Amino acid sequence: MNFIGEHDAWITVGLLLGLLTLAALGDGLRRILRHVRILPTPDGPVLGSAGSEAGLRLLLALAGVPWIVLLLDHAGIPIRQWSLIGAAAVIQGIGRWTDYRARPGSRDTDAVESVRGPRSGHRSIAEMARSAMGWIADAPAAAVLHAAAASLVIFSLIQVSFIPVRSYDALVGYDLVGKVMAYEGRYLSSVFERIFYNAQCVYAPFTAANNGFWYIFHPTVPRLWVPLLAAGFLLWYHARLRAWAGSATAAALGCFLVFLPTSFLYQLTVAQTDLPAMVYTTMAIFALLDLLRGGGGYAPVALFALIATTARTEGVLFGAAFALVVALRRTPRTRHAFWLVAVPAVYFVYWNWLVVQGLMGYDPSRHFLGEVPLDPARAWEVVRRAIGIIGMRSLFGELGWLILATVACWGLWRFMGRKRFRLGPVDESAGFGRVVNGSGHGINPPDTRPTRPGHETIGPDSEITGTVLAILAVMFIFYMPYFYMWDPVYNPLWTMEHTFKRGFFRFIPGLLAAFLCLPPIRQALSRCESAGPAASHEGPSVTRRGGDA
Amino acid sequence: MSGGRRPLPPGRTGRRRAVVPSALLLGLIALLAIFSDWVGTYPTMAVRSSILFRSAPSMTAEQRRMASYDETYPVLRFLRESTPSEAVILLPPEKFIDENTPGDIPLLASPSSVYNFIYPRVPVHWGDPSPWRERVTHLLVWKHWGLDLVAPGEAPGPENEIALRPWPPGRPPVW
Repeated sequence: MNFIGEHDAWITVGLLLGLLTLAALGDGLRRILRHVRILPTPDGPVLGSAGSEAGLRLLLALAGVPWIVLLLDHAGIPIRQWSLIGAAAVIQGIGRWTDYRARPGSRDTDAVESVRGPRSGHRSIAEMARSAMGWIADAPAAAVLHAAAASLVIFSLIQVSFIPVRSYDALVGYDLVGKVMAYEGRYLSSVFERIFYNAQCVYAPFTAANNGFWYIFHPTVPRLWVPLLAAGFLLWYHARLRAWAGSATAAALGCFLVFLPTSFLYQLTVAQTDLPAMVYTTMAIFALLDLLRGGGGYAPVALFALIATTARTEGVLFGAAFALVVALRRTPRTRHAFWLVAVPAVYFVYWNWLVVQGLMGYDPSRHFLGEVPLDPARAWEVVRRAIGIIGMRSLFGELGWLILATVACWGLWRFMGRKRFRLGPVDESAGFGRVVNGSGHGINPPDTRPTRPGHETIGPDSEITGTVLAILAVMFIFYMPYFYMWDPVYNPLWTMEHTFKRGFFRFIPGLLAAFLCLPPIRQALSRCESAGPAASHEGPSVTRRGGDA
Repeated sequence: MSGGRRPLPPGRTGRRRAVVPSALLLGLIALLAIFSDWVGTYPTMAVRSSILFRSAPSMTAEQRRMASYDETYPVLRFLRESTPSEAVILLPPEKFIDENTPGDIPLLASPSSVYNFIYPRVPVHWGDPSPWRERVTHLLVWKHWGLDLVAPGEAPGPENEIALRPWPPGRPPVW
């Protein structure tokens, strides 16, 4: 048997097939999820831009891989190129079919926009080039920062291409499971039958399945999914920041800074579970923000919390945090908050009880206490250690100061404005599985002032910072029991640094968004842009303030 | 933006006004790249990636592995090249390997990482509750560990410091 990775072959048919498979999978999933109204139709030209939609396709494709792998495995179908391509083709076909049904004139005509999203029309290459040059002139700092953020993806590609898998957790866990999956064509492979394997082998399947996907298609670079995930996230995150902060410079700055904290940047060079957990938890946080601000629905939050749980199963704790945040609103429909924790919890039970304990024969509960002790001193030690880790400059640089500055600035701004903060009301019409493409004007009365082209925002933005900070605070509280319940022998608290530092990645994009959406920061950054046709590349602008109330 | 800012005229005037704040912002970021721990990671990553991009493509995959892994990686390669694919190989205790190798946990010290490189051969570390301990076919003598199990009385020397020996059939290891 040839040893996988024995030879270098940088450009292969497998690479092309793998990329095409992901493209078909992501596009198909996007069409289907839009059609069944689990994903909202993008609001406005910024959130619906080609870049944002490409990022969403990429993120959905990578999220779909572990599901396909496990479905094939449970069905007894070998996991090979042909079966993965076939599965992606089926999903693409279903997506196209839903699109076909939703074409104008069909019975599902009202779903056309929901599936396809807004379109800005086709433009020639010359027009796009002119538009790009104009945009660079209009927002020069944003252009430089965009290039710098894009270079991080290129650096990631270089690192994962030329440096062999070195991370210990990967070598004894996700990489091994993925590689043997490629050898044997099954996820529940001989790893779980022949050797005394490490606990990393039974982690939630996202990382191992994506590694295995690329071991099958392009074994020269099995971690190719890492730069793809980073690229997809940056495209999606950029559109969000741009829509909320109303500034291309703020969005570009956020994209540039988000991966740079020391311990976080390392994740772009290795294939571990924490980067995908961060990406999909952030998507859930932002979907929750939409929900709280009167747009979106429960389904996107539950979907992304579910996907985050396929990367690390403790993601279920954040589902519970999201449910509590919604429940705090105490409106009649908030009973649907139950689904925000129930959906990831079902996956948690499926993976840990059915697969890991039942099929792999490993008991993950041995790493946790059997009973809940009442020990305030231990609880305090967990919190104290967590805060200490956040403040370590060797791990996160000056992030601790940014958190303090954001909270202080927001508090001061609230005090100066004499406004009482409250979480935005959940849209009463938003049931689970129903997406409301609302204007999100739930917090303050709608502002009817016109906005500059390209600077449209979803409702009053002044509360984004406060709402994000509130969500992150509840998440932090819900994350602490995970460490509190650690078994003192298997997982002594002094090892918390290794796990918590990576778990805290989930908070970084939200914290940055909270900071960049502070009104003084937004206003300062928007001075780096001209007021001319700055957003002309985004297509026709839509003034959304109070527009579709 | 929503509040407080005087609308700027479109065209060149507005663009000129954006140049100075943009330069200030980029200058601030450049300073942060030099003096802060957060943004300072960017130039480090850029330099490392640049060096890697220039040097690594000239190396083969095996050369990159040899350069990246600890001193036990050549032993794994030796096992892969010296045993049949159905071999079940008895290895020294994980703790012994760990204590006798400098640096972090060596590749040879974990059944999972060994399996990663010698698949489909199966590793069995002495002392582990390995499911295939009854099927051992070979023994790895490493730093003279295990020599007494298959060749009692054989004098340790450089020739048998690292060696592969057949395990006596019908005599599963006991621990």
